[in-house]
Amino acid sequence: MKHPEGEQLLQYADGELASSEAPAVRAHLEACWECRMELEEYQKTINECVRYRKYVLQVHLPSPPAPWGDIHRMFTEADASLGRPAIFTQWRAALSGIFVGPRKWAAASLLLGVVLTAATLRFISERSPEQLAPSPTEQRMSIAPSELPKHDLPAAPALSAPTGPNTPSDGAPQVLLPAATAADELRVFVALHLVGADLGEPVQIARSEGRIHVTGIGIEPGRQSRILAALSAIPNLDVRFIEPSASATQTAEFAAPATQGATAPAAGFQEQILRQLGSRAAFEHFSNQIFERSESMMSRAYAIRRLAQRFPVEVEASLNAPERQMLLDLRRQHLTMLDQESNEIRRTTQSVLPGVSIPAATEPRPASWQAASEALFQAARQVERSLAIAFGASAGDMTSDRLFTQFAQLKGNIDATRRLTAPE
Amino acid sequence: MLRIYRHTQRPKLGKFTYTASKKSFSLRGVVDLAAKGSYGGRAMPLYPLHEEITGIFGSGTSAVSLRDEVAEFFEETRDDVYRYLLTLGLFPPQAQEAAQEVFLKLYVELKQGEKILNWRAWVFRVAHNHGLRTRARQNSFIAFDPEMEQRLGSGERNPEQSLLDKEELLRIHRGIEGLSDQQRRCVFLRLEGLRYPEIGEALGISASTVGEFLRRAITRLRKEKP
Repeated sequence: MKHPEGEQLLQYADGELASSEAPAVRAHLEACWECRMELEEYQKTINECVRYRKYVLQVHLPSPPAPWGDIHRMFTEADASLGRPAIFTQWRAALSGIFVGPRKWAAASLLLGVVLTAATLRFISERSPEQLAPSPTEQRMSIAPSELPKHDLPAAPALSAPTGPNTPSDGAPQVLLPAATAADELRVFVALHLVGADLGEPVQIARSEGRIHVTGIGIEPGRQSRILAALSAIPNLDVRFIEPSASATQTAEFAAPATQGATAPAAGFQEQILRQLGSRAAFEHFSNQIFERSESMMSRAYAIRRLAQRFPVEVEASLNAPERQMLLDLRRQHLTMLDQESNEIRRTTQSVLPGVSIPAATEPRPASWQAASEALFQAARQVERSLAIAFGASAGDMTSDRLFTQFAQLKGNIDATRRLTAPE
Repeated sequence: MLRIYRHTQRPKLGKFTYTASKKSFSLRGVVDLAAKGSYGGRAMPLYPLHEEITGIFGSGTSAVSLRDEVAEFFEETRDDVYRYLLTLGLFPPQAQEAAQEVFLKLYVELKQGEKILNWRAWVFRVAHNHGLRTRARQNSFIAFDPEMEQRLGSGERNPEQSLLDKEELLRIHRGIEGLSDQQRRCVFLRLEGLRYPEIGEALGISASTVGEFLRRAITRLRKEKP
């Protein structure tokens, strides 16, 4: 036989060669030193790849940003959503069988009665007392550790407080539990972050009377269960989903930017861009892209500010080192995205405004990352408002110089916050 | 072997009184032994199972053991899946969430009676497709390990690594960066223990094309040698 192709050699070594071909290749390899050397060369490169996986990918790729979710809890949720339609289908099958014979009508109606009663009982038993509270627009669900699955995964790394609020407390009355701490609240933030529910989604977090209250406004049911699953491992937690009409005032924070006292539309600025882009349609498309990115940038600015508000200096000091690290990782991720988005907006805007000069960033020197975050938020909001004016979403006066000065201020604030978000 | 052990022994274990100490007993030895032979519904794991199995066992019904099996599989495989998603260009939070969803989906499919012979190949295939969809929705994505070279060059390294190793790894890193997307994915999935037809299914190409990509990738990595 002639020398096998390189591909055949590799397939042979990987055991992927058809059984009809393999013996011939094996026999050839036994006979041919040259091919054996060739195969060894392949193997050397494969070995290097394996070492690369072990010493580079496994060591240097970033670790998961948050503790892994409680998979058992997710399975329970999945079981619940799988179980219900299945039971319904079974009833339907059983009933359709009965309906064939007219004499069995009585039996059918009796069975239906039993089924409905069972369903009602089941529905009631599934609702906690709080859910039965006479509030028609509210659906409330309380998660106490005693309700958690007993075969809980080993405690989530890094974040459990020394007292171990996550320790199973079979049948222990709720009053004996330690009150929710800032660390627990941080876990809520991390859990929400993991399902992306900390980016402008109307989910509010508050801590009072030793419990943490998470309120989601106008969130669709599928999303609700994802959020519930993510929060399942956290003790002392009340999760509540309400309809937006009940709390219109609370959503103000998530509303579109307020228009400033209008003078005249930024016509000159827009015409400049319109000339550059060539058509009205291109301008619309372009400005929509800018608004989309601007919204994404603001969601990060809100997220960072929220962390700063919920974890002021003295609260942060009560966290232990891994918890502070977790808080820092959260911040850093938001900051990285904010930086990327704002750079992208600036670069895109710059591309249609040739010849505009960009002032150097002046870096403020705030005392803490919390103070830096607030300043950062204000700078981001200023840019957002200016973009809205510049691209015609709200009235006002705008020049490219002013816009780019604001970009420079934002950049300075990003850098200042980042400096205060360096690892300890 | 593990299967037999589980079905016959688990109800007994359930009788143990479970105390606050979660690490009170470990099945490490049993699992290591089992890993050498057939391993439940999965292909033989390629890497040693180092995770301790701890926790309380409920009744011995099959639903509970499926759940435990998937949970255990999740614990031993999630980091590999997460890292693979990072190499596809997902940001860490999205990669972690996607990894979790993949295992949830595995559980649901198994629960609905789907026959999945090789769990590992299945989760990587689903993670691959899910990852690419997620990446398409992201405004931007991370190019394959942008700062890896920098970190490799810095003092941060495994104590086991000699300076010589580091040079070699940097070379391989540059080589892998230079591969086409499909070649790189083939290499990464092969490194995760998938066979050619399984890789082909994940990437939507034939097994023989996988072989061709792998050969080209390896030839190219070899050329990078000084």
